Amino acid sequence: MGALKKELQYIHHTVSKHFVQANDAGESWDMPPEGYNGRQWLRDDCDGFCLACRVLLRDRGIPSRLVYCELERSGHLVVEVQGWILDLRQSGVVANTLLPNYRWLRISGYEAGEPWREIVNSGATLQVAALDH
Amino acid sequence: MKTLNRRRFLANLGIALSAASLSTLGLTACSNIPPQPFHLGKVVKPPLGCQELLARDQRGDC
Repeated sequence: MGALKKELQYIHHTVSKHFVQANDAGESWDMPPEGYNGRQWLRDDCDGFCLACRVLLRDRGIPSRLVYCELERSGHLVVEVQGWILDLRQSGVVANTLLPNYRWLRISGYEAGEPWREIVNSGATLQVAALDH
Repeated sequence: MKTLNRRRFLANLGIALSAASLSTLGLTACSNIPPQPFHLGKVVKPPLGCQELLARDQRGDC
């Protein structure tokens, strides 16, 4: 396992360990409390999980983006780092090529307030590209 | 009769082991599929949750 993936696994594990999944609270996104370091308990949905991961990633100088996608016809949010996905619904970090049921739609910038862009390659296209690699 | 049964058992065992090793190889190959870059298109509006977060929280990171 690469060093980056190991670090991402650690962050995913750290956030998950103290995270209680709440019912999807609609569209309200909330940052974790100031000073969050992964040891405080959080109760939130996928957006809260992503924003918590992003805090720890930023602390370690790892650039990340938020990805808005559709899964089973409902909106879902994950964090992406060089194609690796940190997702509340997964038990660990997963390559974006291994999530064929996810319909990737929009992606944030690396910094707050940067424009979001549409994602034009689908899950299936990503898999084909990976197999051709 | 006993010999035939043993032969059949060994044949079945061989098939089972082959199937198990193939599925293991398949899983290994799958988990080695590397991530691929997303291809990006035009600028779009952030999700509503992000717009509201940026409007109400200076620390909002989206």
